Amino acid sequence: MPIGEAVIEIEDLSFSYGAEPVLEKISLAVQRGDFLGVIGPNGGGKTTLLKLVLGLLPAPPGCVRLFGQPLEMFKERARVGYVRQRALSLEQRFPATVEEIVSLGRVPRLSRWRPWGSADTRAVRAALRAVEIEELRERSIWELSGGQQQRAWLARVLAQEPELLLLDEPTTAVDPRAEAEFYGLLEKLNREQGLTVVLVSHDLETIARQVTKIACLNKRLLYYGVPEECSHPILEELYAGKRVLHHGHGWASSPSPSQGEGTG
Amino acid sequence: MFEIFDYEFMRLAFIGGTVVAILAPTIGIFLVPRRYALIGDGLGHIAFGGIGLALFLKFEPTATALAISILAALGIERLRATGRLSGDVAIALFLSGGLAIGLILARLAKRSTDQLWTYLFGSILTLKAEDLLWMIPLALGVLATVFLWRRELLYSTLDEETARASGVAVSGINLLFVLLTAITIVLSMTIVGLLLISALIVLPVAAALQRARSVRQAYLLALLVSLISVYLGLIGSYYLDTPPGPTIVLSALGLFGGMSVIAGRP
Ligand SMILES: Nc1ncnc2c1ncn2[C@@H]1O[C@H](COP(=O)(O)OP(=O)(O)OP(=O)(O)O)[C@@H](O)[C@H]1O
Ligand SMILES: [Mg+2]
Repeated sequence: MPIGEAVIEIEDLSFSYGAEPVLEKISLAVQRGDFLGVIGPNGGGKTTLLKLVLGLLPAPPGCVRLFGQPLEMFKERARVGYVRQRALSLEQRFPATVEEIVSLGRVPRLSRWRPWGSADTRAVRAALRAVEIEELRERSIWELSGGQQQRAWLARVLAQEPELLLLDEPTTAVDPRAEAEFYGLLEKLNREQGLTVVLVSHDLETIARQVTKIACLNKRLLYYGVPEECSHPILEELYAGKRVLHHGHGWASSPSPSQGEGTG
Repeated sequence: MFEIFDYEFMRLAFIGGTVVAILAPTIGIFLVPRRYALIGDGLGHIAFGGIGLALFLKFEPTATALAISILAALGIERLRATGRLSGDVAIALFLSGGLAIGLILARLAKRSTDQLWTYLFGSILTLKAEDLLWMIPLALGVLATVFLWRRELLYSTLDEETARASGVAVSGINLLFVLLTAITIVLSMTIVGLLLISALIVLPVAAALQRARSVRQAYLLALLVSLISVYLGLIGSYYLDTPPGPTIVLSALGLFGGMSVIAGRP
């Protein structure tokens, strides 16, 4: 392994779906144990950036490294966990229990030569325990509240035992209290288990307390550093007077006046 | 009432029916949430085109249908994966194309319409013991494959993007799945005929989804509905002197309707 502890290295990454560039010359590095918050307006390219890192979209060769290896060569995808935006689009309300959903998280760890075993059952139990929904495991996923469902998706990805966790606006359709609890949970996993976390969120305010680093993304990377130094002018430029659709929370203008906790 | 088992053809029909009744929901449970029901229909019609081709070239019809629909399945999955198959139109092309080719080639081969009828509407009552000799191993192969890959199939079905991101070989799984679907369709064609295949694959699962609260429950319930439909249909067709394929499908429809009514109640 070259370059010690870097988990994600992005260098000069540009991307477009069509003619119009969506990301331009992004460079950043995420170290092991970091808790990175990615913020930006709708259409700023946050989801696109995650998908590039995950290999769901084709990144230009040589721009992205995971765990020190070029993305093109990286095969140990099970080390990377992903909770996607609007995770709840299970087709046609297909019935499944929480335990069945969470068990899917083990699939990347299985193979024809390593079928389901007691270690997998233990990992599923541990994941359910970590997000405190053990007692819901027999329940149908459709009978849960938004916050409980969100925990189920987190449990599924935790069952995978990833070293790096990428979450794309995971608190969609969750009330502010459940959201705060959820972020607290992430912070705990980050601090106690050393899990590297990249969290996409709609604004700084909700995640400033948990994250150790912040990336402001609107096509270009406008800021990358500790949240305390992410100043008001940067946020002004980031949102450039745009209104931001807070998924699941209706419309609100950004940046919100109370954000930015001064310089620490 | 069990005098119907005195007839060899009825015993064979029940065995063949059981094989397909188990197979159809095993594929259907993944097919329905993927919204592949039409792909099933498309493959059925292509298989029919294969039958026409076989009659024209004097090949073995079922084997030819199997080969053609497997090839078509691989083609369809490729188109779907590259996003060039935008559902409706492409499927409609396959549907009508397969049927038209089958009918024209069969006519050119100067075959009677009776023989085509058996492929369109099934021929469970003319099943021979030799037929079961290839049907059963093939069905067991499909069942075993689904069993071995059930977790991967489920993950790719419910959340393809996340499965792919975490390293599940989704493309391979999807390919495997259309292959298994093609085999299941050709096997079912001999029982209910190509025009009613998707009913047999979709209806029991659709019925089960209304009541089930877990994946396991949904599958077992669909299996039950499927078996009951086939048995009810066979017995019904014997006593009412109706064609078995449509009677089986009507039984499934009846069970589906009944379960919707029950599910509708608090
Ligand atoms: N599959 C696609 N094809 C073409 N353009 C796309 C596609 N997905 C996203 N885009 C475009 O790329 C840009 C960035 O989209 P992206 O989803 O990455 O934004 P985002 O920051 O995640 O936004 P949001 O906060 O709304 O989730 C947008 O202009 C969007 O319209
Ligand atoms: Mg997004």
